[in-house]
Amino acid sequence: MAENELEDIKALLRRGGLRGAPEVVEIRPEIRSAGAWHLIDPDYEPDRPAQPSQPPTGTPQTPAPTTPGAEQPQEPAPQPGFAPGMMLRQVTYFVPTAEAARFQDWLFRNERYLHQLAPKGVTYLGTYGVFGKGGTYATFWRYDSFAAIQRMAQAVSDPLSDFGGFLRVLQQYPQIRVASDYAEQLYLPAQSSGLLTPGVTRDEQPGGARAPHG
Amino acid sequence: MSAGPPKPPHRNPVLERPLKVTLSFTDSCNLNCRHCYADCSATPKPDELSAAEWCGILDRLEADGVIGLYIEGGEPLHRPDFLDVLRHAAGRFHIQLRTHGTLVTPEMAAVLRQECRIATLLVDIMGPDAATHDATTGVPGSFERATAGITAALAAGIDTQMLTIMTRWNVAGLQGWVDLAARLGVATVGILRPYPLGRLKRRWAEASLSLDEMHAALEALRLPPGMRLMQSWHPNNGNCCWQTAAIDARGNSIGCAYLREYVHLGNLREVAFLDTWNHPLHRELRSGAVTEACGDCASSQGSHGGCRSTAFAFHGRWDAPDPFDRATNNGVDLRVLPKHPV
Amino acid sequence: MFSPSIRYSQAPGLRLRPVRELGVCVVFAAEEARLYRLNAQAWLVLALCREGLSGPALQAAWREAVAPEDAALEGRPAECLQQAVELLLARRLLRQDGVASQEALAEAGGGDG
Repeated sequence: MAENELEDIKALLRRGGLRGAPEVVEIRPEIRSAGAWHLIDPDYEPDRPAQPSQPPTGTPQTPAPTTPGAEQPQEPAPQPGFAPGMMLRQVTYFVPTAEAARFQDWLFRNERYLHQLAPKGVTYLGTYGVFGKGGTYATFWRYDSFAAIQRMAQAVSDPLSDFGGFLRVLQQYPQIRVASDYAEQLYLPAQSSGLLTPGVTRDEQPGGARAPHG
Repeated sequence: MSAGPPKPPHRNPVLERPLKVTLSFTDSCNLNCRHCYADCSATPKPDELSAAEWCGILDRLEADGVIGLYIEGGEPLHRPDFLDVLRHAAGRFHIQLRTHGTLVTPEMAAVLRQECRIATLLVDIMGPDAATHDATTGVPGSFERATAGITAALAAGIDTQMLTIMTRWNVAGLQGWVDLAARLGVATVGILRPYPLGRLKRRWAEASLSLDEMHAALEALRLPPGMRLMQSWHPNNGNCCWQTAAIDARGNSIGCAYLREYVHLGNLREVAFLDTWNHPLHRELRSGAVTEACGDCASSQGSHGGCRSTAFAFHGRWDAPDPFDRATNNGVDLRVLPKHPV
Repeated sequence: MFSPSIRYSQAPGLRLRPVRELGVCVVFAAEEARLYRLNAQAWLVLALCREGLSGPALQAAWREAVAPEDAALEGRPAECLQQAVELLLARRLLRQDGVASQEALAEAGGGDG
């Protein structure tokens, strides 16, 4: 075997190729415009949780019932240093009135996937309309580490990521007419003074903030 | 200072080299279909690639990593030297051959199976009966010969699938068409959207349905048990560009057969195939960088934005929403083709 | 499980097309005119068997290749190899042939079992 082929395969194994079971799947070309091949190995991507049990198509109005807490691990009991979220991110944006119904319908059908497919350490908390400001919405995320922020960024830029795919669709709804139509805030726990105020670090947590369970 | 909105990011999977290529082998045909995208003539045009040139291109494609061929026309079997090319590809590529079936005799079917080792034969049948089909092809008797071709191919052991293009001319007979497939023993059928190309472009107002009419027709279909239906409407509206390349009968690299009137990435008599694959326009087409995409179709197809050919035909922009998708139709009436989209 | 008297090799007429961008290998099986998508684990087995390997040699080669990532297999490396081989045999992408007993004995003595 060519040495570079073996090295290529080893590289794939390092990138998550050992997580699932071995797979040999027949490709049955489907005619779309030309023939389309299903080439994606669903187990390939690192940091990608299991696919939704059913694709979002076909059941737009009847989301499958979910067991509370089944998709994400249970929170640990509060302890000293506990913070509800290591970091919160709020993205505020404007969606045109004409798009509102489609946007809300998309959320109704797909928010569960944003939650289920979020990378490790990232929690989708929801998208909310701002009361009294028609067309203004805010999406909230929780991160339990800076690595989680990085994982989310990687997923968004990865064309093979299901989570990234959903997020990219979500990102198509906002319209930026003026600069104030879009805003982002990253919130850090007030107890993490080292990050909020450079140079001030709590004694018991050198380096500042820590994830509540990590 | 940027004047417009930021360019959408790259969304589709990225292939450094293509795995499969569509070969539009010839623009000649023994039928005279009123919807013909290639506007075929009865004899090949003099500037079509010769068999030797096609064989040279196949060698190059194999070396470049191409492993699958989707061959169509015109009618490939209408050109006498086609089998030479097909034999050259045999055993080296996974081959899907699209034909109107009238030239598939039992003898031809045996050659296609045993010598040319094709994987799939895709046969266009434009209606449930001779009246509908022959009115479309312009040749009396073509329905009988085409269905006999399907029978011969199935008898030879070829995986044979049946295709049709949904138009106002045949929509009422779609259920009959499905039933015909079942009677012939065809297990996989494909209903394709119409494209405003070639002759069909000139008769678009007469032929095209509204999107609601198309969906109603699809939703009314009753498939026999075990039959597989391929269709490219919501939620299966893929943007196949990311994995598609195509070469027309004159050696032009055109990205996709359905982009034949819009895209010219270089002629393979003059430039290398991979150079055309890396052409900036081809990269843009493959990227899935679109202003609007349907999340459902993206989820089911693994690509974003739907078909670029129909998006371009109706909007004149490569990053436009595909009006054949319910989620991105935005009120476009598919029965009305814009006069100057390009 | 993997006998020294069995030799595993790629079926004739295969064309392997690695698609590194997607982490898979597409295989064209000319004999049956079929296409397959292999993930990295199945691809590894097929690639290791390009020239043909006895059962123990295949096991050893597999272990060597996956060793750095062994933890990801959660204690099931032998099971994964077995699954990959069975899948490839079922799809006729891999074939197994008996080898002459002397050769098998020699390899069994020198292999890691």
